[in-house]
Amino acid sequence: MTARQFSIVVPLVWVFAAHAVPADAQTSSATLNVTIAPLARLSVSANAVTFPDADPDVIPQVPAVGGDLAITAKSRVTPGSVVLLTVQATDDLRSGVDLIPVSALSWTASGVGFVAGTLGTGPVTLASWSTSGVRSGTQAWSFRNLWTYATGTYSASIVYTLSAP
Amino acid sequence: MKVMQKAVWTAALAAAVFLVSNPVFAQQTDTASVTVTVHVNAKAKLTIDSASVDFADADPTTFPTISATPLNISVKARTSTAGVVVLDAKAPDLTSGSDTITIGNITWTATGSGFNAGTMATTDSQVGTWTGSGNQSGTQTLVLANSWTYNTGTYGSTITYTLTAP
Repeated sequence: MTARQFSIVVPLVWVFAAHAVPADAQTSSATLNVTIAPLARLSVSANAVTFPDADPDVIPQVPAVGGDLAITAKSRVTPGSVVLLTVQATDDLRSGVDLIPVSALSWTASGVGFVAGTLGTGPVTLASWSTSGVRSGTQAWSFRNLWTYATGTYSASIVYTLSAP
Repeated sequence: MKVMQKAVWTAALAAAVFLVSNPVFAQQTDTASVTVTVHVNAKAKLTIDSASVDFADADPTTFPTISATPLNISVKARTSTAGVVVLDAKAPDLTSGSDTITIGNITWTATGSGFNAGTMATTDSQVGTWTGSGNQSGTQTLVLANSWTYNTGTYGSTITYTLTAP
């Protein structure tokens, strides 16, 4: 008997209590945090650039076969910092023991932030920007053609580096 | 003491809030590599500033040799580092109708690095030689041995210059 009576009493107490609290507007706030960290993504349209043989008197600046390289740089940066795209050769152009300085390679460029330059074994600026974003440009390589080069097939590696501080 | 503890905790909390709201990020980089290939083949280019050489008539006793106006010669060659570039010249005998003057009567002097003096022949005679690629320039002055024995006439021949870059 006692147990049955108790089970009935409890809901009644709850109903009473619920009506005893006056209605009120409830507000709450939540802090939303989004982390945007620096990020850099670089793509270059080809992984090889080739210069054909040519008469130095006729073609003193040899353009690369296949035309311009298309470059896309995507970056997120801290405000006030500079996104930098550099290019450098790991070594001079070499064919066995013969070499041609990489300064024989230069480029013109198109696209916002892109600049012309001459290749070196240290970093040379190809482009820079001061804000986050996606940038596209082209780079047209050319080779200074001289009679003084020894015959051969020369090669070198170029490294593009996009940095977002 | 409690005041000091409170200050320390307040400072620690403020620092934590600052670090959360101003995270320090490492610089991000991405790279791409491109291989460059340059082809440099053997090549030879010879330029002589005049296509004709004239020797005026002269008294053999007074002028036992007759010098022509010097030829300016430009040599451009691409070869291997140890490659030997050679400039040769040859010509058939001078003829005037059925009369001939042996081409060996023409000799030359030369100026310019790698150029040398010589005697013309119907087979190649060396005018200059160089090692490796580069541009060379010099002069060649042709000289005719003037002899009383020549028959009168206007004699002609054609000199062929050959530049070789292996």
